[in-house]
Amino acid sequence: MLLIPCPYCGERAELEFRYGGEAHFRRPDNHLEASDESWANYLFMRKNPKGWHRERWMHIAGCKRWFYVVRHTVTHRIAAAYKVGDPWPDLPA
Amino acid sequence: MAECAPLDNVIRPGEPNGPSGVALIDRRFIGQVNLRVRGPAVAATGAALGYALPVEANTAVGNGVSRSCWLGPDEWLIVCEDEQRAELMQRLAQALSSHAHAATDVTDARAVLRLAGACARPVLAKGCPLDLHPRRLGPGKVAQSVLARAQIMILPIEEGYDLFVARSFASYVWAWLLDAGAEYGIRVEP
Ligand SMILES: [Zn+2]
Repeated sequence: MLLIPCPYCGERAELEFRYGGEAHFRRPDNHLEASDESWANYLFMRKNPKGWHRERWMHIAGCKRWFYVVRHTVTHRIAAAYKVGDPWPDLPA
Repeated sequence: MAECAPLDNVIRPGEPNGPSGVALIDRRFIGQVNLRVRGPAVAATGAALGYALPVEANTAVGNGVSRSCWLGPDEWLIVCEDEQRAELMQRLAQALSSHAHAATDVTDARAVLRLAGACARPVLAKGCPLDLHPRRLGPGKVAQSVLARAQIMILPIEEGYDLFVARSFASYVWAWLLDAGAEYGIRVEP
């Protein structure tokens, strides 16, 4: 089980959270004119890296806030957690 | 040699297997108000309550009338006796009339189960992933978590906990606690 550092509540067990997939996706601006390609990118295309991953989590059984986590998809190590609107911490080397 | 029958050492519900065991109490009708405020409205709420809202995560502050539990960066659950609820709602509405806020009476949303006694902590620890040591979760603290996969808010008291559970989960959590507490001789008290 992961120990996830909620930026509001502190370290909590994984079962208090829900996963929200890859972070920092931006809905196409000017959506009426946006191309099919940019919609497809927004809706379907994900990086799915083997390595460091910026992802969304929600502390559903705690403060019920969405936030971001930098997690390694192979080792599960968590390098950082940050609030919506915070500057993005660098990915570890 | 003392006689020992095969089942002498098994757990029998209702028989304390320790110094004082643990009690389960249905705390009926505890007034609960969910409050969403930020900015200057936080101080305005404090003036209405008679104490400052706790802004430190996982803490609870109160006086003789109410207790405010931190739920998130702009959210609190204010707990009081049921008779105090109407006046509390009125005071909040007055104090916050010029601020953006949401004060919602959620008294009927949750049951409050009190788990009290020397063995309350080991019973709770069976189904909750939090560090329950009083250093981390003692009086003055509060935490939202899960108990046996049901969402709960845990408010520590002197010896034990008040557990706030969604009413649709209350009978499940009640039954789970009776089962988990059997080895400590859990008893239901009025
Ligand atoms: Zn949290």
